[in-house]
Amino acid sequence: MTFKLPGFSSPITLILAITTLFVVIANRPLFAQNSSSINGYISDRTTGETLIAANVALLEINRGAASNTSGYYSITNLPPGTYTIAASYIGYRLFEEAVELEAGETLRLDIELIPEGVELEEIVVQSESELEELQNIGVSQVETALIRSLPAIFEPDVFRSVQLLPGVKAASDFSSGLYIRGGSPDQTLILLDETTVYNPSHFFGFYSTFNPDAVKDVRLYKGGYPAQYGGRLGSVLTVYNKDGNRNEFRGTVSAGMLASRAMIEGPYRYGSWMIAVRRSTLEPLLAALRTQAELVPETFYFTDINGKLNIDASENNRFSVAFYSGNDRVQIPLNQDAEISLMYGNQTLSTTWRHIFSDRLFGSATVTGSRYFNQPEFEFAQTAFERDNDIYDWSAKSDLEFIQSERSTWSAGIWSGFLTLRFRDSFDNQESFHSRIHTRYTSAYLQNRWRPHPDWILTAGLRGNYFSEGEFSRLEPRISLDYQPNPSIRLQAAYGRYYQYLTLITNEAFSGFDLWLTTAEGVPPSYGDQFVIGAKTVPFEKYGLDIELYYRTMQDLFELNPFINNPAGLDYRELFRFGEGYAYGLELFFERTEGTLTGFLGYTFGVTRRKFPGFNQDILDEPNRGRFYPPKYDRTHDLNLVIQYRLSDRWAFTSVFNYATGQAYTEPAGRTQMDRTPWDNLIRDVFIIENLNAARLPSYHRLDIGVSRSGSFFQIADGEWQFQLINAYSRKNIWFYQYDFEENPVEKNDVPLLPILPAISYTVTF
Amino acid sequence: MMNIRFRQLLWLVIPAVLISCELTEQSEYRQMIVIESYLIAGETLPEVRVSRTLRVDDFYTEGSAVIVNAEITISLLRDDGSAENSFFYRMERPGIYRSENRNHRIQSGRTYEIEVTNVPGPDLVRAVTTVPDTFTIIGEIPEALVYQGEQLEVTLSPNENPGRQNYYIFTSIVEDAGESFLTPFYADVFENGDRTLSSLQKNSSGLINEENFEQNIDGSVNIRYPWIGIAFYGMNTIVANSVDRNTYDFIRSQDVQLGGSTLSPGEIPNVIYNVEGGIGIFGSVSTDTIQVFITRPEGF
Repeated sequence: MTFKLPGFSSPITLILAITTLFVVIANRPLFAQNSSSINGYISDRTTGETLIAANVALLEINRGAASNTSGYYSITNLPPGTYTIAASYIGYRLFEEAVELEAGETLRLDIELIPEGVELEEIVVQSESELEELQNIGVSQVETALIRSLPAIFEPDVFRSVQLLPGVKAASDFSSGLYIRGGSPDQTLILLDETTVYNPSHFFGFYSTFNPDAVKDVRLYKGGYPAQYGGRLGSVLTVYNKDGNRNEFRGTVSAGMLASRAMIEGPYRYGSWMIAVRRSTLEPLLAALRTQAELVPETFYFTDINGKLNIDASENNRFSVAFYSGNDRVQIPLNQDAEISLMYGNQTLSTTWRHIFSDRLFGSATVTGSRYFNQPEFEFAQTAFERDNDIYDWSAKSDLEFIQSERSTWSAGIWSGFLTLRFRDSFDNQESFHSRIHTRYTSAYLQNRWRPHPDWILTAGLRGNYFSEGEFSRLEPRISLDYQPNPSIRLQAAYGRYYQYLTLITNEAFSGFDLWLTTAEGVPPSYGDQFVIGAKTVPFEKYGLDIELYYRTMQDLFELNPFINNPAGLDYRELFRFGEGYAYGLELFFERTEGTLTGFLGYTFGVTRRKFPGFNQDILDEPNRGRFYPPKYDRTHDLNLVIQYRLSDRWAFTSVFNYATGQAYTEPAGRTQMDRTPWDNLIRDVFIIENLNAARLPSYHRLDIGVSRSGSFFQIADGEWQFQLINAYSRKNIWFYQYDFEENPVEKNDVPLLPILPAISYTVTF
Repeated sequence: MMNIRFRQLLWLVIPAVLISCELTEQSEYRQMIVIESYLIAGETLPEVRVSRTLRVDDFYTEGSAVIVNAEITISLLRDDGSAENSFFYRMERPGIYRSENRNHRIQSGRTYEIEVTNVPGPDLVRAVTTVPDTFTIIGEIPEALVYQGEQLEVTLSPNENPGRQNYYIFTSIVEDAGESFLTPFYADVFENGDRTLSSLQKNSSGLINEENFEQNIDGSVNIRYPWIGIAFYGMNTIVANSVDRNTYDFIRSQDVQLGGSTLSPGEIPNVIYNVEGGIGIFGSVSTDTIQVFITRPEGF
């Protein structure tokens, strides 16, 4: 599907044109002048934080809406009259208020929801429109309170919590990478406050960069995602940081075994602000280890800082500036005359303007900047190998939402930017490889959400992309259908075409050297189709059961050829291997959302395969043809059970149990030796492989438990102890097998995953 | 009450889960014939080793893997692929074969073919290699250098291999040097048991693409020999090896089997062999050699 979008040389012109068009249409009297409307922001009463995807409804006429990513809602074309408006959001009390609308009136009603608090008061879902947004196909939300309360490996982590959702798999205990519906981590677009994050990891993949104290909303579009997003084959993870408390000065300080963090937030004259900092605190442990072991890092830490400033300029205009900066540094003296060091990190900056043009038209414009860098250095016998890898991504985007009628809502947007990828290697103080890719990208979408009947919703969209490196233009149709035959069941189907212009060179065991490359002449973008069908049900009161089936294709996958040991002198196209893949699966999600005992059970049956020419080949008969094989992270069955039980006002219990089919690995079939090379005296042991990754590691299972006790911190603040046990019954899960050729016959040794680990932390909230 | 439609949905879903069986074909061992031989430009025909693969859990010895009584021919090919000269081999000792012809010198830029028959399994094991163009190390070579002082800088004369850049492996050879002559970095490597003294006495660089080096207008390349390449103090023989495509493919892919690439741990690909009917390597190199004495710096 190839096309040429006109005017991309001037994206600003296009933004202005679309905005003008929507503004003109929005201000035309499309309906009878006596129709009324109601709109506003939905926020948390205690903090003033806007709430994304909260639901609002007029109960008498069964009309509703969900707040958008800015927390804004609008219900238009209402007959005059008196209504009960209700609003709900998970973890908040139901809001109800009587409103009277006069003919032609546009009522601005900003709704403040009260958090559930410790009273454990149950919320009764009353409006049929409630939870509508959350029930969109392929969308999951992870509550930040859940992230903070789950047992975690030393430190609460956003990605490790997301890994508990059905359809999302972890590569190992050591990796926070997201493997979603058979896709590798680079197939998920990760947006922090609308800004692309290229390497969202600390400690080389062990943790994600997002500080749970700073995060407001985490939303995962697992597949079949709408035209609003693009650029990745698989999924989208959106993370929004807190705006900051608009009512009072608050803060938290938390000390843990791995890291400590602090967050403060508060109001000021024009709005709110928030700053959160985090730093690892491994130094005492490293100092102790240095007395007993070798190869202990001299330096090993990560830091990050998140900040946001909101300016509530007027009733219809809000501005925000958000930033993130984080880096990791490690320095390890090896033998005499040898040392390795690495520094890597990300920085993001975004500025957003949100504007309510009218009760029908809402818009936002964002300018983003993102930088990722890594700088590894190895020095052996005064011979230095240095790498300098940088990504700079500057972009501007604008989105408009136009409510044409109660049946039709239009969305449109454009995103355009400049991406620079710079890569430089030097060996022995001489440059050995240099690459600089500078590309423009632009995408635009138009989407309509049409509700021809109260039970049916059809969402159709089209997204166009242009990528200047290689001069690629592509169109991506997206469509989803939603049918609600009765209040307890919602049937859904979605299809989408997706293109990806970037590929990530990484290793699941270590993300510190991550490198992104782009399409180019002779290196076309990857593309794939996704088909999803599902049902969201409420089988019993307080319970939800979701079922989704998916099938997706992956074509023109381009990955760094693993046999390229030295890129110098190779054509850009020669760096890659080109292949294909597919994935299909079934996901079940059974949850209890209310009461003293809450939690969920997620199950995934999933299959994913890849094929690359000359890889997993039949070496005797067809050495150049590839055969499909499962990547390591392929797990046929994956089950997660998450339980939270509040014993009393002070004590709470959490547990996470995970069972999964063992990962794929390669069991060598035969061996030989080569020992006649004229340039050295080495004996080269060689494995003979019949089928790549055809064997399975033993099943993986692990139980993590945690207990928290709330109390008072010297009567001046609230305090909470968390005691956690990771891998509580000390299951010896295996990461992979290592083959020892020093032994004869070759010995297969287990490389284990995490052992039993205790963790303790204390958090003060003031 | 559970909704009727919900139950119907479960009936659709449960069978899909239950039928989920093992979806990947398991590995089955097949014995293969392995050849290994390297032609060196300007030298006589090399020996050929013929063996068979063993199961991965078998006790491996050279004796248990040898193939005896194989029939081997190495031919010098014309441009049209026909044989200009054929050289027959005989078994010198079990698994090791040598040509009776001791006069033929390997010609650079020419293509050679090996054919192995009368082995268990395949009718024919065959491979070809095009010998890299010869080159010389030009310019003035210092007699002695202080370790980690001024570096050895050499220039390689132009050599052309159509359709590809040159790939080099550099080797530093020190005969019969003892542990006390090891440079500090390699002394640690040896002490940790990571390398044997014998392997360090012939210490090679791994593959290096020609484009890594500074290019001169005449096609020659300047090389600054890194100190990581020097394992011993004393007289070092430095050999520059320009290797053929087969060797390049074999070395770079065999390195990946040991890990460290972008592949996940435990994901082990096959080596790239360029051998029909079997596996192994039929490679070729052209070389030139210099000598330099490495003295200890003050205080060592």
